[in-house]
Amino acid sequence: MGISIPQATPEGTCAMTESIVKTDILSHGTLDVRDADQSARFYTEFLGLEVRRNSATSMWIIKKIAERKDLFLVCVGVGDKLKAQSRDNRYILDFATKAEIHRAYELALEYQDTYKISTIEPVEEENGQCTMVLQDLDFNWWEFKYQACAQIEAAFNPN
Amino acid sequence: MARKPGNIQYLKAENPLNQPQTIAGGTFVTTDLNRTRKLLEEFAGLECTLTAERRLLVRDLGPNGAKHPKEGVYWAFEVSEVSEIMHPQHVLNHWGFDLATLEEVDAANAAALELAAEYGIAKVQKSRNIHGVYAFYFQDFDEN
Repeated sequence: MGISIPQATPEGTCAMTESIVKTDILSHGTLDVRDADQSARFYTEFLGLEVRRNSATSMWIIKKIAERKDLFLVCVGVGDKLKAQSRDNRYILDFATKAEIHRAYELALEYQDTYKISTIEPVEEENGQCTMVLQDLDFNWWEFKYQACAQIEAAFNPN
Repeated sequence: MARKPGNIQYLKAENPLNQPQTIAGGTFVTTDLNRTRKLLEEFAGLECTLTAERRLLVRDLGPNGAKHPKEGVYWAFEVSEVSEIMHPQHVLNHWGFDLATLEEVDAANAAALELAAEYGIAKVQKSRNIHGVYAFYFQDFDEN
């Protein structure tokens, strides 16, 4: 596959027909964890995700669905070098109903000590959207979002 | 992607407390949304759409670059513009872009070095085998 360089127009803008890199798949994101065993419990028991343990300190988080099994989060054990992540850098979980978001908030409060959940923000509902954000035991942020995928799809295909 | 076989263990709770449909994607921030859009669209070959004045949604182009079918399944990330990056990311905090061949990875590496100034690419590491995957890391102008 060749690499094409964008041609400058007289106005100085770029007239792109092809990108320089042909990305096949936006395939993974990453997370730092302190203790992979404890984090795996939180991901599977609380978040409802699946975990593929690759080693004592690392794992992948997956949510297998029929159509795609190739999207995952890579978790790297960093031990005591763990630093708090920014709320600006969070992962989004898609839920079918608003009731599940409200229930997730109640469950987070109930199981906060069990799973060492650091921060729990109240549910926000506005203009048909419904979200709840929490920060986990490794100070990574998760957004529980009603119909997240449907909203993304509507943004890319508005008609 | 070719990984060495090892002691792999799969974990899944029978009755988890929450049951999301899937992971939809994630978020990050930039100080210049237009510049990030140029990098992601023109350089990385991703599809972007503005959802608000200072917010961009990004996804890959789908199988063979033919765009995802309506209601296809993919990850998207949401990029918001901020005045200042309060928590710069490090190399272990990254998004992964999969390419088809080793040659494409090397070509992307060379292009990143050559076009760094134009696309605001701050750092480019050498391509190498990282845990069984041939890859390289690059960092944008906001340390993403």
